Amino acid sequence: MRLSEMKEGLLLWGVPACKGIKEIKERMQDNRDLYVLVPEMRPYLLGLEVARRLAKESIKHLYATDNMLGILFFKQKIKEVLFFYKDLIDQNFLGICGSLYVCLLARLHHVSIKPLQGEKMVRPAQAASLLDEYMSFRCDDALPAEDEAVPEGIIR
Amino acid sequence: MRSPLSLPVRLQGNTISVLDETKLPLEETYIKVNTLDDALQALGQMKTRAFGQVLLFFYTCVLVGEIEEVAASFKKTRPTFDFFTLAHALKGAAKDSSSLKEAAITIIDGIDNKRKVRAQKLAGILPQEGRILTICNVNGELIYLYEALTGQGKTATFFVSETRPYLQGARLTLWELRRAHIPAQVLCDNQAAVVMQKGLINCVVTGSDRSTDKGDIINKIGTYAMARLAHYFTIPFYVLTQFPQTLDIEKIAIEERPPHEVFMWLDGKGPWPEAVYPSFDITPAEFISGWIDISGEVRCA
Repeated sequence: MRLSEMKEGLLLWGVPACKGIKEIKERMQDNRDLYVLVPEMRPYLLGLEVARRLAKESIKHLYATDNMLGILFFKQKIKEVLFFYKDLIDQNFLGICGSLYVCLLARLHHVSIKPLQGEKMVRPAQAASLLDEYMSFRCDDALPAEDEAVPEGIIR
Repeated sequence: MRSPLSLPVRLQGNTISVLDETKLPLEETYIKVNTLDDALQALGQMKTRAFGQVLLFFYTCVLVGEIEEVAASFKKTRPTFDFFTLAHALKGAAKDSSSLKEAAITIIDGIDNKRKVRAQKLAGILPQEGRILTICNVNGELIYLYEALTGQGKTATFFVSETRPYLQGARLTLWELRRAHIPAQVLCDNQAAVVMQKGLINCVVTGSDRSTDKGDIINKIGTYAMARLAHYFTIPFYVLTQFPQTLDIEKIAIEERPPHEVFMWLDGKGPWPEAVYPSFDITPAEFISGWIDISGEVRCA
C-alpha cells in the first residue's frame, strides 16, 4: 500500500490478549475506513506474531517497521494507539522494548493512547539478535533490549 | 583510516566497480557496471546509495559520455535524490577540463576533501565526551569525524540505530566503525527514546539526502522520529548537508519502495502481511539544532 492510500490508522503496540483482539474487532465494526497498523516491534519481531493472530481472526492489517511510525504520525495517518502493556507498576506502564518511543511520538502528535492489558509473552532466551539468522553480535556490540516504563502522565 | 564505504564506487578503465552494500557485512564484493542499464540496475537494487550513488552518477556519465540522460534515468530510479544538481556541477566542471573523466575526478576528489573538512567543523561543536546517536550510514564520514574528535582531544562513542528495513546502520555503520576500532553499539530503532531518556547519548548526528535553505531535510526513514524525540529531550541534533536549495520540501517525491523489501532481511519465506515502505521522511528545521554543510558553512539554530 502507498502512503497516499492510507486514511485512519489504529496503531497497535505490544501483544493483544483475547480482550484486546475483541476491542480491535469492535473498532473495525464501528469504522469501516479504519486500518490496523502493526509495527514490527523489534528486536523480537512481535509484529509478525501479532499479524498472524490478526489474520487468523480475519482482521485486515498493514505492517510497518518501527522507524516508519514517525512519518505516519507526522502525516496524520494514525488516529489512535492501542498500547498493550505488560504491567502497571508505580504509575508506570511497563511495555515491550520501544514503548516509550511509540507513546512519546503519539503524545507529541496529539494522538490518544488507550492502555490495555496485553499478553505477557515470554521473552526469548537468546539476547537481542538484531539481524536474526544473518549475523550475530558480540554481547557488548548490541544495546540490551529491555522492557520500558512509560509514565502514566504520557499516556493519559 | 578510511572505510571501504568512503569511496564505494570506482572507475577502472571502462568499467565501474560498485561495492555491493547489500552483501555487507558478510561479504566485501564488487559488481561491474559497463552500461547505463547496469548502473540503473545497481541503483534500483540498492547495491549502492548515498555518496555511492553520487559516485555512480558521475562515473556513469563518463562511461556513456552523456549527462542529462543519465540524470533523468537516475532520477526515475531514485526519485528523492537530486541528480540534476550533480549534472549541473559536472557540466560546469567539464568546461574547465580536458575531458568528462577529468571533470568527474576533480569533483569527486573535491567532495571527499570537503567531507573531511566538514567532519572537522562538526567535531568542533560536539561535546568533549561525545555519545553520538546516528542513523543509516554516511559513507565513512563518522570515521573522519572520530579522527577529528580525537585530534581535538575529545572522545566519542557511537550508538548506531539499526535502520530497518535495509539495516544500513547495523550492516554498514557498525561494520565500518568496528573495522576502525571505534567504540560503537547497535540498537533497535525503537530504542531511540529510551537512550535519550537515560542520558546514554548527548547528541545526534545524521546525514541528509536533500535539504532546503530554510533547514528542512529529507533523510532515511526514522530520522524525523529521532529528531522529534531529541527535541523533546533537548538533545542537540546535527545534520550533514550538501547543496541546500530554495524549494518546498513537501513537493519532493518521497520514494516508496516495494513492500516485500520490508521483509528481505528476515529469516523465512513468508507469507508476509501487506506492508508500507516509505524509504525517506521529512524533518522540519524546527527540530534541528545545527547544519554542517559540505561547503564548510556551519549554522546553528
